[in-house]
Amino acid sequence: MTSAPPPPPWQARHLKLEEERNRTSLRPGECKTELVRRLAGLAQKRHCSPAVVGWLQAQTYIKIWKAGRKIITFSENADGRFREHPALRLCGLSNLDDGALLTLSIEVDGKKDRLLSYSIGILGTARGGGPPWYARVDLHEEGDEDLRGDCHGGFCNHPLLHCHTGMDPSTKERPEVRAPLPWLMPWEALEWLLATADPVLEPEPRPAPRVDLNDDKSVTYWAQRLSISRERLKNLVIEVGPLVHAVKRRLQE
Amino acid sequence: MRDTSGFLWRALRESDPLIAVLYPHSGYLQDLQDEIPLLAPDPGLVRRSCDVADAFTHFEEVLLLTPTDEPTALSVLDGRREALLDRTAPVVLFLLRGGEATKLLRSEDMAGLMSWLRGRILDPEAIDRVDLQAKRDQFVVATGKSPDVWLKEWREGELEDSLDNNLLYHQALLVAEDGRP
Repeated sequence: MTSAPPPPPWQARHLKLEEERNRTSLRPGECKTELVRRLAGLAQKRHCSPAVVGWLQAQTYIKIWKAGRKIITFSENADGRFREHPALRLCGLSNLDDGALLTLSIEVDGKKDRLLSYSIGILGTARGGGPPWYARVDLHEEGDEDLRGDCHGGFCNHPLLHCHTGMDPSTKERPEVRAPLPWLMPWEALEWLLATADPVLEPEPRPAPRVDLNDDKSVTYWAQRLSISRERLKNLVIEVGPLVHAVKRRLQE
Repeated sequence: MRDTSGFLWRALRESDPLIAVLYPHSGYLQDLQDEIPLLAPDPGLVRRSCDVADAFTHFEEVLLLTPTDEPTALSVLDGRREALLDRTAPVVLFLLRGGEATKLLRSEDMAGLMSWLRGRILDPEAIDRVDLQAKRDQFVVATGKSPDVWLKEWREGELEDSLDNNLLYHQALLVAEDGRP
């Protein structure tokens, strides 16, 4: 008996994302609160109006079969607008001129506590009167059996979760920049997008490298990297602490 | 502000001492309790309690009150309405939608409290429901197509994968006549 061959890499990625989506439990209110939390942080840093915390709404479907599903968007009270869509006006971002817009729309099934799809985007112009720019993260709904052949599994076979970036968000630019992404919750996609507009908003900077005196390999590695003896490295760590940049600074003094 | 967060944001900044929020289930209650501190003018001045007696202390703090005995809590609040007037931050009273207390609130016995609460009862299930016809009309004006036709074209890949269309997609889902279960 032979086992089935593994799916090709792109299909495997697709299946992995679907697996993540199925495994993720998310209530609409929970999703909204997480987003409000991030937006409140953004307001604290003066990148948007403090009233933003009251500008998210979770609207309910009318149809019985859709009962429990909600769409989270900015409400009409929001201070920006992209075409007909309410949006959040951003300011003080290092890479974008003031007046950039944040748009979002998220679909959550409140009966099954399931994230269905989302689209979160930022658009504006590069700081200092530079070119227009946008980036957008989309999680598409599941592919449907009755869709046309080339549309199975995500919108026209785009990876289920991907980022678009370019100059004009209204048209399809050629070449089209569309990058697949690993599984991200909507607020994580928001954090990632904001970090592209201002590196200071990077949500979790990589931990600063440290010398671990309890780990022989770490001591040997950093001693070689810094071209000093293991003993000298140990003494420096005792003196200035385990952060590599502190050790380097002392060496330069 | 015809949505839950907008209502709460405004209510937390007004001088009304009592707001009632009808929650449909415990998960929703938990989400609201997590969200309200973020909406409050000072997130540090928000307390949670199950004891109605706390409504008559710490007048400067928003109180998220989830009484274990909702009907009794209503009676206490009704009986001591005058004392609540000293509050500078509101009590947000959570009541189970369709529960004993919401029935009691609509009874003759609670006419005074009900009148006092007029305009300050939030029913998120009702307020967040879309106005179907208005939204459908709005969609047709924006796209020149019915939401159902638009949705079909989108799903078949006939529409541009643009920012506008990704946002319109969810609007179409909200108001389409037909769709996928």
